[in-house]
Amino acid sequence: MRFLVVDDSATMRRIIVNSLDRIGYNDVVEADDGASALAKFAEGGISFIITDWNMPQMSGLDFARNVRSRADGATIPILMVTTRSAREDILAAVEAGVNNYVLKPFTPPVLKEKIDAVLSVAAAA
Amino acid sequence: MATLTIDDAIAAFVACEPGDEAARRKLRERLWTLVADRSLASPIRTALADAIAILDDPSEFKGAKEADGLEKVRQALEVAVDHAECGDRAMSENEPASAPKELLPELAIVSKSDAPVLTIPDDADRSLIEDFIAEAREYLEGAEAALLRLESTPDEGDAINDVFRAFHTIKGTSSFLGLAAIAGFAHHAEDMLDRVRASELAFAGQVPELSFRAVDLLKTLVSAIPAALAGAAPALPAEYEALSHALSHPERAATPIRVSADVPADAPKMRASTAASVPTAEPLVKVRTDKLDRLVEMVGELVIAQTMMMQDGVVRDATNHNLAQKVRHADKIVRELQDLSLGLRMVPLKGAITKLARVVRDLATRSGKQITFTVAGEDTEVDRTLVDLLADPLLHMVRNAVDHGIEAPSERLKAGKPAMGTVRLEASQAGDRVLVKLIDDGRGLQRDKIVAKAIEKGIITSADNMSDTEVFDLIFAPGFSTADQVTEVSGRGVGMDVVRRNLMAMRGRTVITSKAGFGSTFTIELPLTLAITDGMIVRVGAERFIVPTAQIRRCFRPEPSAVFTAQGKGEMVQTAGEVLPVVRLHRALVVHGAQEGVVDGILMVVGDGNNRTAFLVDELLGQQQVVAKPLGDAIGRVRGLTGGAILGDGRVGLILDVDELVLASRGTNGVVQAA
Repeated sequence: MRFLVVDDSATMRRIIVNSLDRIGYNDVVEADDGASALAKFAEGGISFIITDWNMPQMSGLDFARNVRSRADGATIPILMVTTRSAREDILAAVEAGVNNYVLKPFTPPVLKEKIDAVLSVAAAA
Repeated sequence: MATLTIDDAIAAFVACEPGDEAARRKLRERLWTLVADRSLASPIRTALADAIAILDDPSEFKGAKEADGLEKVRQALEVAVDHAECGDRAMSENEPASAPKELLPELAIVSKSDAPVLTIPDDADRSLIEDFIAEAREYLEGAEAALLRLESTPDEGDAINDVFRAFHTIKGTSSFLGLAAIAGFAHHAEDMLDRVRASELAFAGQVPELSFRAVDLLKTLVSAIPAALAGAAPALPAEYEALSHALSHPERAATPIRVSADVPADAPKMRASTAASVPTAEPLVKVRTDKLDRLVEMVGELVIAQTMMMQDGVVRDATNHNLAQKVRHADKIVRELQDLSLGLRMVPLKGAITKLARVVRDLATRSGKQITFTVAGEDTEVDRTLVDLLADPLLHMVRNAVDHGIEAPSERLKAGKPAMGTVRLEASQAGDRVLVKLIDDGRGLQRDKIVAKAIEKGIITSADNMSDTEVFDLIFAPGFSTADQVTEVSGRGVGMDVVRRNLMAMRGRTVITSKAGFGSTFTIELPLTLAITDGMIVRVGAERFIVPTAQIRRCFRPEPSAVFTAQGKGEMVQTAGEVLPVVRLHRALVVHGAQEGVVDGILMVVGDGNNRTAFLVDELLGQQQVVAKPLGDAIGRVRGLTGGAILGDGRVGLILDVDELVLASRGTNGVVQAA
């Protein structure tokens, strides 16, 4: 399963990629902003997106909306990485088509749990 | 599978026994699925989102608090059930939006710990932390630039977001790396900026200052990471706690945005406009600078070897056209290689300039002045070594302009000028020289004051015959400016005389123009690189010397009538409306067999301002690019010489230290007495 990890911080990308590796996912494509992430997604082969929320130019929410507006992006699982969870954030994320989010800082097991949760809902739907 | 209902969520909630974290997580995932279900009415989804927010906050379920946390979840679920049962009528009962909950409980504890030190967990990933250091610095530089932009255009949303993102990213990443002190502090800074973003707080009052200080403190913390990695436990900066607290309560000194977003008219204000840098998409390779220096040096050697070959009799006489053609071809390639290798070390001046915006801001704030600082040509490239060397002179010039050039707002208004002063820095390239101009629209240099001070300091006795240029030049005289004036900003006290001497050592020159009431312009002119010197080869007796062409103003053969001896000052020559002292190089350098008579040789005018001097040489032999080399440890430093270079015929020529020779010829204070 190929992951697309989107974050403007190279260090954060490394952290996410390392975490994915530890829970057995080692096929990862990285992007440092929404625009290049969209381009990489359009190339095909991506089956799971993990994106940062707060990024310059295109926010994680806008990126999610962009993915959802594509024919091939309607159902792809999108997990958002964020630092806070308030009513507005949750609703905004859901409106943008985000499947779930994981709070920083997280451990690899927590990330696995979130990925599994998203995948099981996607499988049920 | 059937769609989840609220009843499913209730069932999952009932399954949440105290201490059963897994059950809580299961409940949370069910709630999320429900929130995402657009067929549910929005008040229901809002209430469910509240429940998720509570479940997402581990501090709600810590130890004894767990029962309270579960009770809060129950209440939120109850609201959802009420809405589901009563429809839209219950909508108004929705509680106001819950405050965003930050999820860094362990960090809050650390920042209040008894031993405020920066620690790194034992299992930390060092390479990741090193990446973080570099990245955090970039974010902080970006935040600082954005803060400066914000001061000129307080409503620039992008800039606020840039600052916010810097704090936000640093907080997020450092929390992963276990850098609790950094994450905790960044968290406070992020909070404040978040409130600015949400227009709860104006970017006014104490907020800009707090933001700048937060950037500074984070820089300090990030700089302390290497020490912490090495096993030390660096103490947190003294203001860590106080600043954290101030960031949490900025409104105690700040103006709420709803009143007015304007900075009070009498508040110091400073604008900086630096063009937003567009990151290049070109892939980059990091190379150690010493390798680069070695490359440039070797190419320099190659150029010399090539020159020697070109000047060899066999090639020069061109009896073999075939060979001559090949040599010319090789020569062309060598020259291109030289340009290329020098280009590798060229970096934009930006590095030396960016910091200045902050300096102007801080100085203006402290002195209650209003200053717009603009920069042009910051992408002008110069040799890397020169960028570092330029930092001090620029700092002095800027400080001078703000402290002595720009007047207080009231004084400016009285003089019919806008209260806001401008300081403009312009960098540009002219041939193989780079020009850096600092232009202010302040009061200008005041001849009378400079003369009075110079007389008081014993630098001159009278200024009766001195031109304005000569008077302005006195501010570079040793003893004129005192070191204590600059300590605060530069961190080390250096006077203007040292600034000029350092610039001269880089074969640079300084020019001041000024008009009373209208401002001053300080110009620094530097070569693009120090690796190659354009030299004039001169003969003195049987010796050949190299004089850097950049330091030669002109050369001429004097009329006998123009040479005279002035009492107490020795030989002088009158030329082009000025009277210059004559220095016989053969005496200064102790060379025998040279022309004694001034009219039999060539006079070469060198130096700047009051230091202009005419050197007597026997003959000008021609110009050549040379690669300057130190004389070597065995010989050490020789007065009057900066080094040597291999000339086209393979022999060594010595490069004259024009500045030192001029100073030596004038006694210790190096300033010509008023003529």
